[in-house]
Amino acid sequence: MKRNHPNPALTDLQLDAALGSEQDRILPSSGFADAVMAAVRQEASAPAPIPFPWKRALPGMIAAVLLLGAMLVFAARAFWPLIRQAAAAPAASGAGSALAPFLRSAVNPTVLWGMASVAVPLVCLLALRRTIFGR
Amino acid sequence: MNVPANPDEDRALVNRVLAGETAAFEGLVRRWQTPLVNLAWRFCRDRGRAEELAQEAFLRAFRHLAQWRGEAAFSTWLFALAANLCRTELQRVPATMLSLDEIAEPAEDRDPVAALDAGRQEESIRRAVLALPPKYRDAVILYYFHDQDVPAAARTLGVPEGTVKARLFRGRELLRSKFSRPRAPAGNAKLSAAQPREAR
Repeated sequence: MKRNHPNPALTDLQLDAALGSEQDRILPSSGFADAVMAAVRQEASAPAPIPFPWKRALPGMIAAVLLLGAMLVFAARAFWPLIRQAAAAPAASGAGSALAPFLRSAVNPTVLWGMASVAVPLVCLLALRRTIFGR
Repeated sequence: MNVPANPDEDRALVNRVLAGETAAFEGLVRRWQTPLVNLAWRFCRDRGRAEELAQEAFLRAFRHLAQWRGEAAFSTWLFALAANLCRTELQRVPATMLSLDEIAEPAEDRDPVAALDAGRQEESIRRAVLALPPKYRDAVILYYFHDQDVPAAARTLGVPEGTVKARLFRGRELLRSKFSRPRAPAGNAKLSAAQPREAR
């Protein structure tokens, strides 16, 4: 580490003397260890943070995800004929006629069930997320 | 900052603390308080803040004591934890707002080293270390904290020894360049580094 430097202004020796000096040391104040131990005891006596109850929440979360998946499949099957019908509509007739089958079938009970089957699990999931994460 | 090595004693105390005997931690605090306060002192040069940082380091050590695997000495683990804390805290609230350009310039038209008495010059050098870029500052501080022991500084920093040597070399070069700089014209007095300016 020690080397001669062409600049005589500040030598390694002077740097070592300044930075490694015994004078550059302090002693902790007399009550330091007691203060640390008081903080440590407070830390030790504080109740541990309540862990998230994964064991209880997990089955519900898995059930919700499965339900959502099942509902999506159900909804896809309900909407599939309409999607095919819309895709088969002549392109020249414009977006209005492409949407017409959807609009016509809006009152169809099967479609209503399909929409509800998507909306309900979504709302449940959002509510669950809000409960868990608080936002 | 040499403390007589007694790894078995540290291990025994740690085991007792991990077994639930919180009071055993006091042995570790009493044993390592002086080095830890001095480590923090070298990072901030403010006694009050150094003790706060050292206390926080002990608290973190207590919280994460189980993470010390015993592969390295307890002191190595503790110093690394404390150094990390000091670096983070200095990033948040710097120890001094002085830049290298603001460190004490020689006041008279003489050889800069001769112009300053030894005590003032040493203090200026110590404060100049705090104005170094962090990676050079950390290497210089830990090298001298560990009584000029490069491997120990490398272990605390968690970098290879070659990296510490390179950073140390560069840090010293920066300090030399600062203290060998031709003095500023009269009337353009710089703030003395020996008198810390209040942090903004």
